[in-house]
Amino acid sequence: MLVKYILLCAVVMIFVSSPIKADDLDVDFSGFATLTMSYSDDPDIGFSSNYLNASEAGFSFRRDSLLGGQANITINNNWDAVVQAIYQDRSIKSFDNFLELAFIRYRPQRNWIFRAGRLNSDLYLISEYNHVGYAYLWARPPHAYYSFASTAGHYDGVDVEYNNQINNGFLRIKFSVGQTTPKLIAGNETLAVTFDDLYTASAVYIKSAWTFRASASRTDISNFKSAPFDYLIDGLNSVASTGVWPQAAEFAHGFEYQHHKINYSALGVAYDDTHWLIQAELGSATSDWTVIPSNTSAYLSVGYRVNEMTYFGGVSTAKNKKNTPKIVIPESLSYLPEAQSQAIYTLIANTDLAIKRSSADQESVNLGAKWYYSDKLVFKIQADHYIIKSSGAGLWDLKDLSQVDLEHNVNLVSFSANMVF
Amino acid sequence: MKLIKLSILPLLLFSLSSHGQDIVVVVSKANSISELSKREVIDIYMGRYITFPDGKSAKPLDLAKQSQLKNDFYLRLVDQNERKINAYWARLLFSGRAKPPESMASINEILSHLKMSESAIAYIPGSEVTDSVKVVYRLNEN
Repeated sequence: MLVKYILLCAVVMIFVSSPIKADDLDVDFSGFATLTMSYSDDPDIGFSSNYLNASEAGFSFRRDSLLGGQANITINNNWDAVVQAIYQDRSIKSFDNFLELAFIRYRPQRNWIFRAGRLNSDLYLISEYNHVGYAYLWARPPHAYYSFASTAGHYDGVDVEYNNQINNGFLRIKFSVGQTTPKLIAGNETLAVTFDDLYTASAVYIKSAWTFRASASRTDISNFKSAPFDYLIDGLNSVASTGVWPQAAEFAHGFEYQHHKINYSALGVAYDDTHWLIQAELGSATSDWTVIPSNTSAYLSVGYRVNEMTYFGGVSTAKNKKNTPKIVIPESLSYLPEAQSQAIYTLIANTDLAIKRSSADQESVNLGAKWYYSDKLVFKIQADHYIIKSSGAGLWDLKDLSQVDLEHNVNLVSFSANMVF
Repeated sequence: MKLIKLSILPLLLFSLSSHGQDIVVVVSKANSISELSKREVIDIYMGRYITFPDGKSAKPLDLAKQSQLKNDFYLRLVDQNERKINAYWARLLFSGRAKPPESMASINEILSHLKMSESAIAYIPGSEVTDSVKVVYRLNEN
């Protein structure tokens, strides 16, 4: 699929450009790092800053620490390339999970930019640089909003951008198409999902202290590898053929990856003047796939600068729309032989668990401070309090699945040092 | 001790001197651009475009960190201090969008660079303008 997009882009570029001359070849290296010590006070529920990283409870240096390196390769006035790799505690340690950017860019004239290769997502206010702690306010971006977004944080494809000055502001419009296959571990099981034909349109308008952003995205699910879900779907399909549990076929279809698509849209606004830094974003996903159900997430953050210090606080929420059918246990089960009815009861319980584990329903509040120590180093401290509602721990790693219906309250404290070099 | 005091004095005078005086944006005499608007200077110095309005390559030059002139330039241009500018460039660099302006150690180095490069653009105190550069924008104190 990557080859398809690169070929497409290459053909377009060949038609619109003259042969590439490396008459201004220059390579610049740079990097960034974050060292974070954090403590989560609920041993029953593991936390990770994003879906692709390993989850941990208690003290951890690994859950947010990372090291990134980048090469900017200038070929000439029209062509350049960027490669960026980030080492962090990915649950699947494959090269693919560490390569963040690897694209070639062509600027035929000042208002148009074409890129092809591995690109960063442009859905949110900080999605292009959410690994670079030095560049933003928090010790951790709002978890409810940015943890799931990480699964499609980069993709392989092409994009085209148009930008211009409009009414004394700067407008940037981008359209992209690509695919990505994030690989992660959920509940000790490896999981890989392919988001194919991932189309995204985004618009950003910047005027003095204000930034406005809107984006919309849609994707097909073209592959899903997960042994527990395969086992569950097989069980549901075999029961569906018997007619004992009429809902089995419906749930099997809901869990199967084929024929499902996800639509996503997001709005963001930021105000950044001498003292105040205020940001808010709202996202909404519509999905008919039970594994990634429809959801709404949002946050509001307010920061105030006093010399080298910025003090901040905020709230965030993520909530799945309850569009999954309610499970109805058939009365006929009591008339079946015990072994058969027990097997179906177990299947129903596993179906219920799978639905609840995919569901997010949480709220959080945070307070913190950022200290600008030097032009290369900032320190941050942040305290988060999360309220994870019953059956709403979809963004967390629940150690004991029998606790899926319990509400959890988690306190998380983070100290971080963020560098650029 | 007297020597140290004497050597600090010019630095102190220079640091005070950028307050309240003109800062000018200059290019090489060989550059075909004769004038830029404030918005066009912002476009180049904030990494929005890598060319002048006529489409030719633009390579902005910056002064080293913690220079008073650098701080004043960005305050007057975009009302942002050096801390905010550093965070801004970390965002642009590591999102893969643009590279920050090349950093120069002194005004003399900037003037030497401008003599050699038609695409270079820089900011200097109005009092440092020489025959080899062309003023394309004047940043008066806000």
